[in-house]
Amino acid sequence: MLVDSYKIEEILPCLADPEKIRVIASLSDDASEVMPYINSIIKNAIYIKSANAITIPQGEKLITIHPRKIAITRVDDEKEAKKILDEMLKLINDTYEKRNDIEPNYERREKPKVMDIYKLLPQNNCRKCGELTCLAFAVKITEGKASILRCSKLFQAEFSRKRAQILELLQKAGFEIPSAFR
Amino acid sequence: MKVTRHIYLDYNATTPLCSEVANVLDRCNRLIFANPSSPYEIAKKTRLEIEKARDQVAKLINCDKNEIYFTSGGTESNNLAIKGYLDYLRNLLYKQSIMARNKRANLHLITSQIEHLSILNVFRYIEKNYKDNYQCMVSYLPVDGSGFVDKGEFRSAIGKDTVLISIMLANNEIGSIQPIEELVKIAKSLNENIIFHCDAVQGLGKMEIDVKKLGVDLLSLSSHKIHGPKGVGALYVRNGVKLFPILHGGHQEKGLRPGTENVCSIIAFGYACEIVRKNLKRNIDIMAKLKEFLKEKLIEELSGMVDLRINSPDKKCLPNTLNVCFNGVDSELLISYLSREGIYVSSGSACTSGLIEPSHVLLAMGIEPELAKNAIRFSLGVENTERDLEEVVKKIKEIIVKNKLN
Ligand SMILES: Cc1ncc(COP(=O)(O)O)c(C=O)c1O
Ligand code: SF4
Repeated sequence: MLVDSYKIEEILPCLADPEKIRVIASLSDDASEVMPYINSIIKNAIYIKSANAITIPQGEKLITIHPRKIAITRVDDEKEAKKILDEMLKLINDTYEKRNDIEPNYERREKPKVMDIYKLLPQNNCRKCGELTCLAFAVKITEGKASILRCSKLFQAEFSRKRAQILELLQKAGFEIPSAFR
Repeated sequence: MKVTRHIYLDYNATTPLCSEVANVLDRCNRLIFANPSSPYEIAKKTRLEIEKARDQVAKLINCDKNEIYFTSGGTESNNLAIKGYLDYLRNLLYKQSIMARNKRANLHLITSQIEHLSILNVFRYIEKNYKDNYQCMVSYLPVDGSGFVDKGEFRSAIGKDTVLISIMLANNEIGSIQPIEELVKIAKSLNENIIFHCDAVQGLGKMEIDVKKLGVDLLSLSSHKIHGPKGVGALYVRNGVKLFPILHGGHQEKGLRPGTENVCSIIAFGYACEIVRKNLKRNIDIMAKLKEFLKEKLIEELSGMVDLRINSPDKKCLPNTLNVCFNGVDSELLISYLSREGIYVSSGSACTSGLIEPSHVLLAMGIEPELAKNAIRFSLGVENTERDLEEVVKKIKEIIVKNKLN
């Protein structure tokens, strides 16, 4: 067994839908190890290696397993939350038991291609993002290690169309785009 | 769990009413009810009280009282400043174009990546919807690793189409104070017709604000950040600057903000400004000392356990704001545990999906997305004490150890 138990820490109103709740539960043990295996068996999961988190969409709900917590959005009530958390605990532990038979997957599914991002960048290697080239920056972006906000050229007015395209591409791939720029 | 004592360290989110202001509010609610627009004698009293409040706000930021317009708060002031000016300008250009036949123009607007949502979302709206002959294009200026707008970037962003610039005075999450006075000078030297708006909501009560010195054309204020009531604020509009209203109705606030005035809140806001003006220097000193104390304690007690990264700049920072990343410690969990101990802090990041969203301010500063999720914002008030802060640091330490958060 990898994770012994969970404890519901917080029940909050769901910002996306005021009729629903958002639940945060802490985990008694670290679940990081099992994430690449879950990523392998759950086909629509979004695994972000650098953030050490895996999000599993379930209908309109989003369940995110972090190393020491699980967050669930758009839950009806505490009872439903408990049911989901029990399932998740089982998923974590079952997957852990079977890990030797599973090929771990460290990749984000639907990972945007470096070239697709590069094509939309200003491509003048101005280094303002802290990288030597736009290409190097595109790599960091796909790895989730840099925020698109750091390309200051892209946020100039003349690039507004490309900016919108890149933000859309990243958002579709499950990257976190600050809501102010979505 | 029974919490016996509350320690509030989230003054940038909002502040409690101070007792003098609460008394004023109470008195107004009971005694002043006449509509200030009514023709009879008791309405005159209401009018006079509102004008007194206008004067109190004006004195605090060193402007003429007829340059102050009351609104429902910082958000509305920001919307009114930006949309109100663009609507005015687009109308003016349209009228001129009928004679001149050049019916198209691009309007270039400048803001920064670290503004409050009540600025960024206005610009996003304008970018998406103001697409006629006077299409609006926005530049979102980057900031450096300490959260300051780069003056070189700023200068080079300004072009012949630039009509409006909006840069905040002080940032709500990290506290960095922008060199507004210099930015205004640069902007106006390149193009004197540029209108400069400044969101000063977080600066009020924590630093001196003198609109004459700053040189800005428009400036937003909010009452609830200075121990005044919520839902009231003001926009400073320099004499000579023209805006269209964004709400349409009667003649109140010279037609710029129609609707029967939020009388009692306006009066209480005026009082809050008066109190700030009397105590500003003293308050800044108290807050700065408390912040220094907190910072030292955090470093002293925690640096062996977790990597601390102080995100707030050392200099040119609000005296009450300290943003810290506890590397590897999930800030959502830490906040939740602290709140059960009666300690209230914030992360500055909003949660919109299952993932906590790292703050756009920290991302803009170049902090890695993962680390940005470990940020805690402490924002202090003069009511806090060193004992409180000692207690907070002790609890943070306990929580991290007990729950193995690091
Ligand atoms: C920098 C800044 N601008 C604007 C606002 C919005 O002010 P209000 O809450 O009065 O609408 C806030 C409040 O959080 C703020 O911090
Ligand atoms: S800031 Fe943007 S344009 Fe400049 S090198 Fe980086 S990615 Fe390229």
